[in-house]
Amino acid sequence: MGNPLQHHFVKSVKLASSINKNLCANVIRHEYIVTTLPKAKAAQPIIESFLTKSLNQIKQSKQSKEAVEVEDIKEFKFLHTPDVEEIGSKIINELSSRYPTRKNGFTRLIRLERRLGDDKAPMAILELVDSEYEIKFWYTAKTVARLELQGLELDDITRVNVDTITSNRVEGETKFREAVELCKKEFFKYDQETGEVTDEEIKANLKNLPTNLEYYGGELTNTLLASKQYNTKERPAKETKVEIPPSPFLNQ
Amino acid sequence: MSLAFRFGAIAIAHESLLNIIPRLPAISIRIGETVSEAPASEIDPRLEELAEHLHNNDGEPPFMIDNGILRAVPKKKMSYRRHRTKLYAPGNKQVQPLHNIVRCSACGRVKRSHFMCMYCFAEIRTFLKGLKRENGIIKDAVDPQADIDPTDARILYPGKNISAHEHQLKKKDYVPKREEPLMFDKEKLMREKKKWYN
Repeated sequence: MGNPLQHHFVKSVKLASSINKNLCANVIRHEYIVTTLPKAKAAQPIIESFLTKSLNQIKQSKQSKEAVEVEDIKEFKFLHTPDVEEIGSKIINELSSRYPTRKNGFTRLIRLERRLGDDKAPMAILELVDSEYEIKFWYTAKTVARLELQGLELDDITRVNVDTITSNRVEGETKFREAVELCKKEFFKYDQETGEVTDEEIKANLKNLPTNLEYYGGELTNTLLASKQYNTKERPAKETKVEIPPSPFLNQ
Repeated sequence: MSLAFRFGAIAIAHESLLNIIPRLPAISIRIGETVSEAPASEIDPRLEELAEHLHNNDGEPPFMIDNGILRAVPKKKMSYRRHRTKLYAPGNKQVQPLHNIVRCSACGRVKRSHFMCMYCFAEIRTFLKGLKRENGIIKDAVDPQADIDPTDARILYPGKNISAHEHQLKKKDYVPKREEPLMFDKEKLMREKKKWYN
């Protein structure tokens, strides 16, 4: 039958919406999932809108009473009924404290290589941002650990990645430092007491340096992300925080 | 006599086969001393084998020769047009080289740009599974009979004989596994050809 989410296959809308509901529940349950790329692409905006609506509703109902229960939030009716209790309580207890100010961009989509089966389907990771089990968080931590073991400074792209990961996380920088130390121990067999890598293969692997070392703390820093075609200037930093007046159309 | 026709041309060159074929009166013309003898070419070992076989079996050919059984062969010669259409008509039959190969920043192996490095992903996923197990999110099923006496276990669960085929299936060789990627080396990359219209 093929992928039911593709347009020419959508014969039954119920099936497509059911897949989206299941993907939505499982992303929240497991923090990250691996699916095919078209399914992930179709489900991502639906998960985003579900999370924004339900988190908004939780924020509003918290103003009136202290303990919010699953039955109060009518947005949870989007999910399949067996999932509502588990997923709803997780959103109320964990996700609302994880995303206090975030309005959108709760999920991230990472492309993977194709599946090794017969169909060779393109695969992707769909994950919640700022979680403890975020793939991108650990990947950047591993990158930073490798660069530190090689004795290099961070390049521009890694610095941007570190910033995106740590800026909105609660105690982001300290958690990231802990993750880097753990990555050194876990992936590179780094012994902290002696300060050396114990595995011989990894030692040989670490000698494989990047081609142009000028990007890593040399002359070419801050040039990688600048436009080569146009002479652009950096935007000046905001001086004062502008307060936007609340909209009169929103019912308070 | 079809054997003689088939092997005649080759067999004449072989000295050992000469005594099978009826001898013709030798014609030799000598023109002074200028004509030198042709260099002795190397003899095919199969021919020697055939000669031995004929010598042992009173001149009868082996079974696999001239027994009336035809082997699979194409029925007709493939025409020039058909040959060329099959090979060259749909231009995308060849596997195209990848030009978006970069170095993975976390492990130094090759990866495609804008794609996750599958080697790192596999490492991180197994690590995160362990982390989830530590934090109590993944709960392993507890075996209710973990502290059973070994003799009791042998009597209660004697097991069953597994055939060689089932044993092979248990190894799960049929599941395809991803190969470990090579270390990145810039000199081994294939450079992209410049397009003529640029």
